[in-house]
Amino acid sequence: MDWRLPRRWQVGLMLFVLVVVIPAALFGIPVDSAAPEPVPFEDTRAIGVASAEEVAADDTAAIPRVQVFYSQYQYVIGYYGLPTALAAITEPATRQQYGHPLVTYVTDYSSTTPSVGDDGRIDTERYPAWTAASDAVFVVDSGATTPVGEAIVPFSDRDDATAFADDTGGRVVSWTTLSEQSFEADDGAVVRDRVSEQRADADAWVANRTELLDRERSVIVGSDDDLQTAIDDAPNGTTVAVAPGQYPGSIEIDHPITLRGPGATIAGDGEGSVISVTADRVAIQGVTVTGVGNQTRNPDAVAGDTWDANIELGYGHGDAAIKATGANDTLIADVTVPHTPANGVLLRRSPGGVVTNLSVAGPEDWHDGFMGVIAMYSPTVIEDSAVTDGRDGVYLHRSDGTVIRNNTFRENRYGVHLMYSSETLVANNRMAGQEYGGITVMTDPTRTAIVGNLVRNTATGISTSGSNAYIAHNGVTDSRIGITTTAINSLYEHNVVRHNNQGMRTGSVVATSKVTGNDFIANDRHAGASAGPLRVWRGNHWEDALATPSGRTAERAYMPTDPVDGQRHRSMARRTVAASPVYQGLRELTGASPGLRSGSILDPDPVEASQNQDLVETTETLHTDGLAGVPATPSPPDR
Amino acid sequence: MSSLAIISTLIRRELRTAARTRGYYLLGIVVAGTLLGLTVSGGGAATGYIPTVVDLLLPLEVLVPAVAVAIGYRAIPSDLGRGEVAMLNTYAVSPSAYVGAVYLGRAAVLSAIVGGALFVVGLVVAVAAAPDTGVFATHSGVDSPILFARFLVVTLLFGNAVVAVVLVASIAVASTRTAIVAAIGAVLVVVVGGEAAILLGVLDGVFSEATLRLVLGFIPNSAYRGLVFETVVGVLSPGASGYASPLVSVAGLLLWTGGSLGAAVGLLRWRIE
Repeated sequence: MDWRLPRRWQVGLMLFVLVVVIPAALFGIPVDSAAPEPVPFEDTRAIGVASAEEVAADDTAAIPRVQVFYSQYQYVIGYYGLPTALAAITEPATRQQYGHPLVTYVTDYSSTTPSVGDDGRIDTERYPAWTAASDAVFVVDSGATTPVGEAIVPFSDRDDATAFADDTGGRVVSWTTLSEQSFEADDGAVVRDRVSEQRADADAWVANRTELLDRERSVIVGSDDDLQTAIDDAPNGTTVAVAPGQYPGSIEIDHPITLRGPGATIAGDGEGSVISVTADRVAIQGVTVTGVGNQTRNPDAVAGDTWDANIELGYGHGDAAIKATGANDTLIADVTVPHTPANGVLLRRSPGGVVTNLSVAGPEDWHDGFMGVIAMYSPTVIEDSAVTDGRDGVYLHRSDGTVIRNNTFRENRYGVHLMYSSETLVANNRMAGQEYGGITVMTDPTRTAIVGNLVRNTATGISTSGSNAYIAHNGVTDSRIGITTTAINSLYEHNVVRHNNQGMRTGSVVATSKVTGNDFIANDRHAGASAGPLRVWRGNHWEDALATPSGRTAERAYMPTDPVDGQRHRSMARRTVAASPVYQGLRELTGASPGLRSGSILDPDPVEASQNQDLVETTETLHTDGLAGVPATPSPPDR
Repeated sequence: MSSLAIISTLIRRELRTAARTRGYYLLGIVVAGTLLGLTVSGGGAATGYIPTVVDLLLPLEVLVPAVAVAIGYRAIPSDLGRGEVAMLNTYAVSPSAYVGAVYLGRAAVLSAIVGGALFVVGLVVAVAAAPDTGVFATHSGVDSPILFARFLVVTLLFGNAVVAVVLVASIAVASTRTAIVAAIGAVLVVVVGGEAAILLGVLDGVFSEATLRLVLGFIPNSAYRGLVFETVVGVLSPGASGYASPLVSVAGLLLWTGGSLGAAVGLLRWRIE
C-alpha cells in the first residue's frame, strides 16, 4: 500500500500548516520563558550606595547584592542591599518605566561561611556566587549591617541559612515573605523636605561660631609689635586685636583665640601658608592676607594608607592664605585674599568650620591657581563669599553635610566642585564665566540639595551625580548645557533654563528621576538625551514648542529630543511637519514602551505657561546684564 | 473537472496574472519603502521589535486598507467587463468557487506585499536594534521576534478582511471605473464609519466595558488595534490586559472576511442571471 498522501493533499497540508498552524502557534508560545543568566555585578548599572561608601566597604561580600532583569528594560540593574532592591522593585514608577522583573538574582552566601563582626560587617571566606532570588531563603535580623542599613543575607541552601540564623540570632524568611514587606524608597522629595531644616541648622551653626567674635580683648597689636608673640601670649578664649597696618607672616595659631584685624594686612613671604591654625575654636576676622606660597601639593606630606590617600596628597596639602588642620569649629570671617597662586582657605580634618564673607582672587589663568576654599574631611558652612579666577571656587572632599550658600564665583574652572560628599546643600550661589562648570557634582553622592542658584555662561551649568538629589529653583543661562539629570532617583523641579545650547541633558541610563515644573525658554535645544531609555518628564513648560498656526498651544505630548518637535520653537516649517497625520501617527503611542526606547525624552503633559515667573524674570536679567543685574542675597541673620 | 480542480486552476490563473502585473511589483516596492521610511523615522527600530510595532501600528491602519483597495478593486469587475465571468459560466464554475479563487489570489498578493514589507522591517530591526551603550550589561527583556511575527500575522488578518470588503463593494457597481469609487467608499465606511460609530456609542455612554470590548471586535480597525495591543504591546506588562477580547476580534475579522465573500457570491450570482 502506498502510504504517501496524494500530492494535492500534501500541498493542502503544507498550506494549512503555513497559513493556520504556524500563525496560531505564534500566539501560544510564551515570550518570556527563557531567563537570562546573571552577569558580573560590575557590568550592571548599580544603584544604592555612594562611591565613598562602596570604596570604603572594600569587599564584594560586605554588602549583599541583587541584579534584576526587567521585562521592558535593556540594561541590567544592580542593587546594593536587598532593601534597596525590594523598595525599587515594588515602586509603581519602576513598573511603569521598566516593567516587571523577569528574573532577580541575589548573591548567595551558602558555602561562603559567613560571619558577622563586632561592627556588624559581614565577613566571608569565599566570594558569594549568584542564585535566583525565588529559589533562595533570606536571613533577617541577624545584626549584620551594611553602609546602607540592615543586611538581609541570601542563601541558596536552607541549612546554611538556618545555621547562620542560629549563630546570629536571626530569622529565615522566603523571597515571597520578603517581597510582601514594604521597604522605604528614599528619593529627591525627602531631600526637599530636609532643605529648610538644613538651612536653619546652618544658621545656628553660623550663629554659634560667630559668638567667637565676642571674646574679651586681651591685647591690641600695633605694626611695631611682633604679631606671633602677641598671639602666643594671648590667653585662651580672648581676642587679639590687630591695628590697621602691615604685619609680616607667616604666623601660627595653636590655641583657641580670636584674631580680629580690620584694615590689617598679614603678608607672607611667598613660601608656604600665611596663617596656620592647629587648634579648635579659633576665629580670624577682618584681615587681608598676601604673599601666599605657590605650592598646590606638598611632596613631603604623609596621608596614611586609606583609599583616598592619593586624593588627600594631591589636593589637601597645598599652600593657603589660611590653613586649618585638625582644627574644629574654626571661624573665618571678612577675610580678603587679593591674590593667591594656591588656595584661599584650606580646611583639612577640621569639621564644624564657618567661612563667611571671604574674598579670594587667583591668577588670571585658572591653571596657575588652586581652590578658593577647599574642605577635606571638614563639613563646613561657606557663605557670602566670592572667589574669582581660581581653579575651583569651592572644592569638597568627604565633607558630608557641608552648606555652600549665597556665594559669588567668577571665572573659575568650576564654581562648586563636590567630591565624595553627601547630604550637602548648595544654595543661592551666583556664578558666571566658569570654564568647565558652575556646580559640578562627582562620585555618586546621595541626598545632595542644589537650590536657588544662578549660573551664567559656562560649559555645564549644573552637573549632577549620584542619587536621591533635589535640584530646584535654579536658573541657568547662556551655557552649553544648563542642567544635567545624571543624579538618579532625584527630583528636578522649578528650574529655569534659558538661552542655553541645551536646556537640560539626561545623563544616566536609569530613568527614575522626576523632572517637573521646569521652564525651558529660548534654548537652541530645550533638552537633549544621552544613551539610555525614553525618559518621561511630566508637566514642564517648553517655550513655543507647541505653538500652532492659530496661536494656541496644542494639547499633546511633546518630545524635545525629536528632530521635528525639538525644533518647533525655532522653525516655523517644522510646525507644518509636526501637524502631519503621519508624524502624529508615528508619535502617538511612543510612550508605550519607555524602557525599550532609546535616547529620548517625552513630556506627556507639557504646560502652556511658564511656572516660575519670578525666576523667569531674574534669569532674563541674568541673560542680558550678567551677575551685575542680579544682586546677591545675604545669608541670615543679615549682618 | 471537480470543483476543487476548478478552484485550484482559477487560483493558479489569478496568481499567474498577479505575477505578470508589473503594477504589483511597483506597489510592493512603494509599500516596503514607505514602511522602511516610517520605521526609520519612528526610531523604535533602533532598540527593538515592540517599539517598532508601536511606531507602525497607526500608520498601518491607514496604509493596509489603501493597499487592499489597490489590489482588490478591479479583480471581479474587469472579468465581468471582459465577459470572462459569463464564459466561466459555461464551464459550470459556481460563483462561490470563482469568488473564492479570486479572493485567495488577491489575498496572496496582499500577503506577499504587506507581509514581505513587514518581513524586511523585521530584518532591519534584527540587524539594527542595539542598546545605546555597551558600558552596561544588556538584555532584550520580553522583546522578541515572536511578537513581531504576531504583529505580522494580525496585520495580514486585518488586510485580508479589508480585501474581502473591497471585493464585495466592487461587484456592487456596474463598471471598473465606478468600482474604485465603490471600493474606496466601502473602505471608508469600514475604517472611519465603524470607528465613528464606536466613538458615538462611547460618548453616549451606551457601551459598558464588556460590550465595548465585544463591539471593538466587530469593527475591523478596532479589532486589529485591539489585537495588537492585547497580544503584542500588552505583553510588556502582565496584568495590563483587556484592550480587546482576542477571540472576539479574530472572529470579527474572519466574519468580515467570510461575510463579505458570501455577499460577493450572492451579488455575483444575481448579476450573472
